[in-house]
Amino acid sequence: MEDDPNDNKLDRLFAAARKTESYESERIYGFETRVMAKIRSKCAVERPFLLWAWRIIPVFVALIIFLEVWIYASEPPYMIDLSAVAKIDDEEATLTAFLTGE
Amino acid sequence: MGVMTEPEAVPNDERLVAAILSGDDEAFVELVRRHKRKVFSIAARFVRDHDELDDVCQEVFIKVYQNLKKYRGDAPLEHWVSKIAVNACYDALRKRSRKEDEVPLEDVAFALRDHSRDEMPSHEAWEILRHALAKLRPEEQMVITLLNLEEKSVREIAALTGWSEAKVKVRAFRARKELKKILEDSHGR
Repeated sequence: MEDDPNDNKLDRLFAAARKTESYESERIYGFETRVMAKIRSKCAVERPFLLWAWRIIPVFVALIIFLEVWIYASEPPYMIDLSAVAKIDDEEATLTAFLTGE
Repeated sequence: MGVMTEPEAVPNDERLVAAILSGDDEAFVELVRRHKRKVFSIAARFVRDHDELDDVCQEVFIKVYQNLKKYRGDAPLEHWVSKIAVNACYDALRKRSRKEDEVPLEDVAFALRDHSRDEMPSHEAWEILRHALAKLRPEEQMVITLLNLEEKSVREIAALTGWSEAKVKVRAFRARKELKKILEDSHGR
């Protein structure tokens, strides 16, 4: 492989190319600022839903509290309707009598 | 703000990563400052112009930022960042491979004939190689650039690309053969 003149030519080409500065050093000045700006803009695009979701949490909490209070306030006081209980008992007794033939 | 405001010596990469993960953006700025030269030197061999270089390097550090949680610390941070840089360059090469190289190699190959014996100016050599490399497949461009321009070992290339050492050797052999053919053809015209 060493005897191939084209190999030598290629190696010389690589050796010469390696000596070039691969990039101009002024390109890297302020690079971190550009990266951070891009990251922030990317995050701003990706996060609006999350920000919005966090903002509506207090609204939902307030709504739940309001509904609880409203349900509690609108419920009639707990009273036992004795006539209704008696009626149910009567119905059960009639049904039992019918089924058993008494 | 912990890491960057402490009066003690410059924090190591491990502390820097911990600070970034706890939400310290200044620590990430320091990480970029520390590793940007390495990323630029890798990417510069694969891109066509300054704008693409800036874009690829920014893409690398955005990936670093997004994937820092996955960094396990079993290898130096520089290796991990270099691996991301090589993958970003490979992606850029693959995207570009669909398009034709606009400048024909014959337009720059005159320098190869003029300097066939004496030492060729480095800038001309790089221009010729850049145009010849653009005619190779992305994986061939990748392997020959890392091997012959960045002077990485086969093992290092395997670690950076995730390819086996055997695959790196085969691709390097094919790439070199193809590159010689491209240069011979342009030289002969």
